[in-house]
Amino acid sequence: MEDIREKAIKKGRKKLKESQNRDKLIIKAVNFLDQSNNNFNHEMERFRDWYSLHFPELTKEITKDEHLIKILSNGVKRNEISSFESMAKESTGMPLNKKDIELLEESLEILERKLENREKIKKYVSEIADDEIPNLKQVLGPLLAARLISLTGGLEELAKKPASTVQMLGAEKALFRYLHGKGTPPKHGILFQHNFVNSLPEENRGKMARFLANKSVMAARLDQYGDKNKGEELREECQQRFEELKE
Amino acid sequence: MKKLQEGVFEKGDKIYTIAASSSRVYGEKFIEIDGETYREWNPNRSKAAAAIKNGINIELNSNNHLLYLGAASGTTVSHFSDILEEGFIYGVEYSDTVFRDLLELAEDRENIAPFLDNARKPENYGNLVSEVDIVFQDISQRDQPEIFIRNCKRFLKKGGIGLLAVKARSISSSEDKKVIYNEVKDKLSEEFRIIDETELEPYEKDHLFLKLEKKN
Repeated sequence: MEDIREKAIKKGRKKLKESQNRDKLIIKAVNFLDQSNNNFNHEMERFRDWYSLHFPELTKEITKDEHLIKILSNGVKRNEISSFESMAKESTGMPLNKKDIELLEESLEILERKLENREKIKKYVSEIADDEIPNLKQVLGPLLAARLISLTGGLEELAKKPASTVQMLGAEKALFRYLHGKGTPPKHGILFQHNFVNSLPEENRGKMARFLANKSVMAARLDQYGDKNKGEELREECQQRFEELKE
Repeated sequence: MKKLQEGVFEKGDKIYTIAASSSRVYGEKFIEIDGETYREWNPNRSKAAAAIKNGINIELNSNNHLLYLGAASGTTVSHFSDILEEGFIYGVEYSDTVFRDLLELAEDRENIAPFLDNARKPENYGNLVSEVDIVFQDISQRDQPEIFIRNCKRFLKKGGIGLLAVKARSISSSEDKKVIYNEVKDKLSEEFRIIDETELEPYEKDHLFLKLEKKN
């Protein structure tokens, strides 16, 4: 028994060391990014809610989060915000004291930093993708490529999957519902996020998703085992198919 | 301290095992009574403990050999290791993040062999695992009954005990849990006789715990 235990421990350590692939970094980074986006949206919603006690007209007028953050970044007091003076004069919101302003500004600053961090991670994922999965990046873009790899657990795992499986990744719930005799078969999983799929009329999305899945798997296999410079070619093919289906 | 089952003790509404090591595994409490050190076994963290609290006798004997599928970071494994003083645990876990914790536990305790493997493929660890008395499974996967059967066919002795926690929501997120439980039991009944069962409320939601005996 002692012998078996030692062998198992040794083997486990070895496997842990061998599994250190750089594609893991992209997976974790993109998962963090998605979670961070989610958190940001929730917090921003709360911030708007909070700030609208003071200046509801502005939060209603400016619907884009990045835009609102930028406008407020020099101070949140409504009569000190340039180019909204008349709106501020008419405002129905309550006045703020020093403490209120301090905390609002601090919270806003955190949100601003989160936005910056988001951009940095995007750039980072894109850079690693250039080294590790250049073909797949060309076909799907860095973030979607990373999400796809994340769903399969690694580049090697993705490269071993059939294209039909890849087309369904992210639509497992719908797929199994269909296999159990309920509902219709899903046409696309996470690949729906690709502009070529979601911008087509509904009846053509399945065709595009299938095509894109085929090319993605080819790209992943080339990234894992072969020529890393085929991305452009594969992307062209997808573009062509997209143009065909658009008409 | 009152003996509840083989190796499992009760005091008040809490249950304990006798600590085989002085290291803390998951932040659990240690208490000392009559020169013996006991480790508190938290039913909110361990489905086996939840099953015991809900009246299942897991029937572990101190010299049993046990195959544990879905060992995770070793919370439950550590208590089994306490109980199986002269026994042995083969722990299989597929995720490398939590496997690190399991590895640490195995280095600290002499009756655990950890395997970083997919329980769907028993052939990958079969060469080091021999026949066992008990198979325990805590894997939240859609095909968990199939995984369980495959492993029991290969490793569990005739008349051996199977223990498994079924998470209804990882089999279907919409179907009624009773329907799911029955499907799982149907699948298992070919190879096993169901000895006992309980839901794991209030510790876990929509979980069924089964105690089985292998027919052949």
